[in-house]
Amino acid sequence: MTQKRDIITGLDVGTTKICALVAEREENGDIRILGVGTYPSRGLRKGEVINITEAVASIEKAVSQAENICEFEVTSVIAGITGSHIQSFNSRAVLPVANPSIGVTRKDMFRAIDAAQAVPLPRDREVLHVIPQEFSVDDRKGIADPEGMEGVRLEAQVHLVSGEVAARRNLVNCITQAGFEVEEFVLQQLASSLAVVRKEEQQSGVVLVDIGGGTTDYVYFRDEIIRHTRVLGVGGDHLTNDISLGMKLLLRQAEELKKKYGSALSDRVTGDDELAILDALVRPATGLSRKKLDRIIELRLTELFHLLRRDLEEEGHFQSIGSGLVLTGGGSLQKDIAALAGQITGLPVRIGTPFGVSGLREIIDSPIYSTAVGLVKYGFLRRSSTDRSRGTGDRVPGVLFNGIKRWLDRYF
Amino acid sequence: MNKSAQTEGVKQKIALWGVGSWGIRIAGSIQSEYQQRVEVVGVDSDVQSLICSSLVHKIIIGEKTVRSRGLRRDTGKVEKAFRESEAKIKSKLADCRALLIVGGLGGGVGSGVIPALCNCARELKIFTIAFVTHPFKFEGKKKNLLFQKAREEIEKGPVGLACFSLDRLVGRIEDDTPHEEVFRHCDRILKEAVECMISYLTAPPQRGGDYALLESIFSSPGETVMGIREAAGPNHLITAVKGALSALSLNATELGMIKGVLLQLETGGSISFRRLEQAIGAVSGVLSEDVDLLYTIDKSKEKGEKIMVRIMAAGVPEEGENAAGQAIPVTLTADRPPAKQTEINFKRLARGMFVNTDPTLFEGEDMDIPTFVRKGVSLE
Ligand SMILES: Nc1nc2c(ncn2[C@@H]2O[C@H](COP(=O)(O)OP(=O)(O)OP(=O)(O)O)[C@@H](O)[C@H]2O)c(=O)[nH]1
Ligand SMILES: Nc1ncnc2c1ncn2[C@@H]1O[C@H](COP(=O)(O)OP(=O)(O)OP(=O)(O)O)[C@@H](O)[C@H]1O
Ligand SMILES: [Mg+2]
Ligand SMILES: [Mg+2]
Repeated sequence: MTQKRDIITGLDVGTTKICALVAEREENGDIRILGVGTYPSRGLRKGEVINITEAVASIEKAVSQAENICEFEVTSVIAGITGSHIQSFNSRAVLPVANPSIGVTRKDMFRAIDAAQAVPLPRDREVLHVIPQEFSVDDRKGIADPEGMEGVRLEAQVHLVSGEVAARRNLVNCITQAGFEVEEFVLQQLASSLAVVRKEEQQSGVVLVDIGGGTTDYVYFRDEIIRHTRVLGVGGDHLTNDISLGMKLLLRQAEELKKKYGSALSDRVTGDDELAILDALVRPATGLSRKKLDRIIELRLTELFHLLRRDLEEEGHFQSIGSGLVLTGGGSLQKDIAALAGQITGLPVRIGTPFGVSGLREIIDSPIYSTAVGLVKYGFLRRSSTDRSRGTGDRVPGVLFNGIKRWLDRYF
Repeated sequence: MNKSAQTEGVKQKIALWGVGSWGIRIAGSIQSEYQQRVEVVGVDSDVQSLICSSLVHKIIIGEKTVRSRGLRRDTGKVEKAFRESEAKIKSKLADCRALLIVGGLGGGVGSGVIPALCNCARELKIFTIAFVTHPFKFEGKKKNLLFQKAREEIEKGPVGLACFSLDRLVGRIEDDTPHEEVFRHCDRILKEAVECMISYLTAPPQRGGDYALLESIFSSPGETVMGIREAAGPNHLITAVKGALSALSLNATELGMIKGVLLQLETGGSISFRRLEQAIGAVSGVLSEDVDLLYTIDKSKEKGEKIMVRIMAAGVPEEGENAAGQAIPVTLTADRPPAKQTEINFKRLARGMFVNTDPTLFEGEDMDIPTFVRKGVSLE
């Protein structure tokens, strides 16, 4: 009899593609990808399900592809969630330490976290993640783990991510109808960050920006703490749409042109070329100008990075981003995008691809797979932490100890 | 909305019309919880500005006369354009109980259409308040002249006018503030003023409002100013009220000359009677004895225990001297050949693959529309 295998399936339900990733944790703790399935998404717009039947079919296709590669039958998945309905904010609560003579206990910490997440939300919204940031004991601030410290007042600070109930339900319905159980939802950029951002970057301040087809999702870390997350309803589809309207092309012609010739910097080429597209069956597309194409892309991405910059400035984070930006998601494959982002923010910029897993590297070695890889990494971290805390009974349901290993290690 | 409360024969609708490029932007930036309570309509002769807007109801005027452009200072054409589209406008207004108008009185469209719209509303006996801006001095004599004429026309009444001077709005900012931020500040004040009025006219449970008093407050000569403050913690109400009063940036004499005040409190928590008494006392304490004071309390879960106070004060004496010089005749440009009147499909024109999805809103702009269209950048 062989031992039960330690396998997790990540399901990235993106606007452009659905990606299922089956991964196994080996004896020595290494994560090996066993199967990958990707299938173009139908029935999604800007990160949210708009047509359940179409979405179900795409999910089934992607998962069964992955199953065929590894001959493993998927029953449950860890799924990513996004959409412009997502809203995040920081919240805090102060409680008296139950028994000052023995200091802060684990129980006090959970009670404080619990109190900090008790914010009034409109009826159609719910809390998706409660991510502890740090604690204060009396006047000592910025404490990661206050257990055992003496004091009378304990303050917990948490990052709350909320979303529309209906959006999550739609996604659950799709996945269940496709025949799988959802173990957990993870905000997409949090998953992606696990796959591509290094610990040192999280320490010195980094913004992970996942530019997908429908949305741009980002998360800001500093001192290995999640300080800010946001979803903007603008992504690569907007580039394609702009090009199609501006150059009077079909959407798929615009998509082809964008990937094949497009650049985020319009002054890179001098002179102007005429571009050719393969898919010119419908209309002989002549006189397509490279200048015009690049200009459309540059305008849209410039606007996007300005929005990002302004938001970080308004939140008071912009000055402390020591390690700059990490771009990932399919949108980050746009030529010269890092240079443009650097020009606008004045920060160092790199493109992030998944690290820390083995198997099928030649397929998953692309920013497009960051979310899916992050989802399985998250699943394993979560699984080991719950194994450890089993029986202690002091977990707050719904609390996501953010998948950052530090938190998972420390609290379970 | 509250369809159940609709009574036969009684007009229920409250409309907010954004006029001209800037007015449309302001109308589009109203927070959704206020937007839901009114019908928001954008009016312009300029197709570009309507395309960029996320508003559901759009009226393009004078397709024949001006061929879908702005009017600049061509006031002669405004009348023609307005007449051409008057039937459309009147039918949209027919079931309105109250009309709020917002726009800049320095543009061709704003200064031409707002007075004409007020006339229409007057004929239809609709209670009307116009939120307008007095152009910056640096915009020049001609624009200030347009403003003056438009204002006189509106003041023939009986229409309320809340006139904000842009020079006054930016009077207290630091010299090195970037210009975008200055404009954003002006936008915000106008937006908050409109929201404050919507709240007064629609906040449950009293719902309705004292039109006679509102009209008397907003038909006083002079300018309108706005003060906003949010506060949390103990004594948050009085803290916010005092902060909002000081944000009016008026001296004691000016405060004493205020004709009327609209005070709005927005919070998720509850307010005790004593606290409310104290807050209103704090406001009336600094004003003259015969000031008219209206207030409204809006419940907003999102605010939680925080409280937001908005104070709109009318009848503030104008700063400095009159900007208008002697009348300068408006030059008419040569007539263009008339265009065919066509139905313009705004959605198809600019939303492409997003044609059937909700707009992605950001500060009143619909991000689904190509950046080059919204920014008016030529690609050639
Ligand atoms: N605060 C602020 N005021 C503005 C802004 N844009 C315009 N205004 C004011 O509003 C007035 C009217 O401008 P528009 O709305 O652009 O003009 P319009 O009514 O569309 O008319 P046209 O000139 O035909 O386009 C200007 O004279 C300014 O005083 C802005 O971004 N912020
Ligand atoms: N080589 C390329 N150059 C430019 N853009 C590209 C390239 N390859 C992919 N893209 C764009 O990346 C986007 C898809 O990215 P990704 O697969 O990360 O999105 P998704 O996860 O499906 O969507 P989302 O995360 O928004 O729900 C598409 O808009 C696609 O056009
Ligand atoms: Mg994605
Ligand atoms: Mg205009």
